[in-house]
Amino acid sequence: MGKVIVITSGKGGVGKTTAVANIGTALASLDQKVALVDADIGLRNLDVVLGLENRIVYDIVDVVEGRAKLKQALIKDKRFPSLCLLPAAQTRDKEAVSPEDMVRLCNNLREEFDFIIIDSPAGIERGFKNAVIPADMAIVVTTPEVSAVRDADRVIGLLEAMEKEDNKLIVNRVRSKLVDRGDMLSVEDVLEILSIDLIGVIPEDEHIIISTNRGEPLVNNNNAPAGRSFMDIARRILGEDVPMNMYTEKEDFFTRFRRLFKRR
Amino acid sequence: MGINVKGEKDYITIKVDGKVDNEAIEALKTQIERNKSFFREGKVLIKYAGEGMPCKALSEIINVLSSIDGITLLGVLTESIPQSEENAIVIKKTLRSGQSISYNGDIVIIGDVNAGAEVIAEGSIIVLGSLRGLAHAGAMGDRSAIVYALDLSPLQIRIADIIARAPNHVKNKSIPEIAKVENDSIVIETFSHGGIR
Repeated sequence: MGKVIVITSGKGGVGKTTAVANIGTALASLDQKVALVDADIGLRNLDVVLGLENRIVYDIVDVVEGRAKLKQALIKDKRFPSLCLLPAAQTRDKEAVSPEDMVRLCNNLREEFDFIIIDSPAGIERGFKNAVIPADMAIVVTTPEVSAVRDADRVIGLLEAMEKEDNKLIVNRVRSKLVDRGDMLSVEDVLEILSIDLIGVIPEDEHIIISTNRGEPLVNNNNAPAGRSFMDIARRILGEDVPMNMYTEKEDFFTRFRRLFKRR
Repeated sequence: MGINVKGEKDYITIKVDGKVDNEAIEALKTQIERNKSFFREGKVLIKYAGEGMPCKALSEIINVLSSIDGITLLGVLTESIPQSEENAIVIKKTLRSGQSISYNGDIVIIGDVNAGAEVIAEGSIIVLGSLRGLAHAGAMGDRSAIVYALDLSPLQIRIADIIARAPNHVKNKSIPEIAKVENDSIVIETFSHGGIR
């Protein structure tokens, strides 16, 4: 039986879709069978980030309304044979799918896959509830900004109210330099407010922008700090005990030398 | 004196005042008999004006009620349930943004009150954790109410009709503090042993 994980945040633009794409590909490259479900009906993005937009024939609403079988709608990623995407519909809205539909759909996917990862829409309305209801585990994504943390707090409250107990946190887009200077909330500050378990910290990384635009997931790129961090998260999901590493871009000799001196 | 029946919005209250004798029970019986449709499928709350209700009286009233189809008993209230000052609830969880607690007595929270959450008490508010959200103590006008927290850093504190805003500078230490009303304004003091002076 597969495990259903929802990735959610409340606030938009904090990196939910990027996290889904990268954790999904990371799990797939660790030989897990993974299905990614885009629950952001009407504002679909996941297919674009994965570079699978041109292969969509049927979508989640087609499956729910019986126009297509689940197998027909699932798009296999040729780069990662054990990765599939169930795309959202773009011409419909959140009302097209009910919470019961989502539970049924995920129960069907559980039989085929090891992990089902749901990309939740921003907000706390119908779309959010649809995405969260079938989940066994929720990963809340936030950035170290007061507004994003506030929304994450609200979402964790709603998760608890929906009796979701297994909630984890990703702090995304952390800039070590700003944190060191005291100009950005640190991961500890965020944890103090939200008080839930941390499953990963993702540094700010230009590679993400490039990979998102190209539709190529990052996890196979060992030079990308964010890619390595997502790979660590995938390992933690599989139960491995991976220490929290704050990866940085590889530096040339000179900058490393200078940094050593700065640190006294 | 005796038994009074009153319809509320969602339920029916049966007020019991003083001794419940055969006469009162008979009166209740006839009243129910006359208004059977009013009671059918209804929800009933029994209120007793006194300290604890005699079992015999209660069982007789329930006997009368059980002769009607589909009636449910919501509960029995007596006046000996403590009210106001002696009244407090303990909440053992962190209140997150968007969550709200209000109570007609004191509120004790074992956990944090995060920004965006609100706590409204007719009495005092005690937070064994960080208070970052909105706290309104003495919400019905009691200026003697206090707000206490292990880390008192709310955006706003209200006591009775007085509102205080957080200072703009950031506090760097988290120490237990207490907020109370002095000369028509809210003052915040470090909390030390010996209670409130």
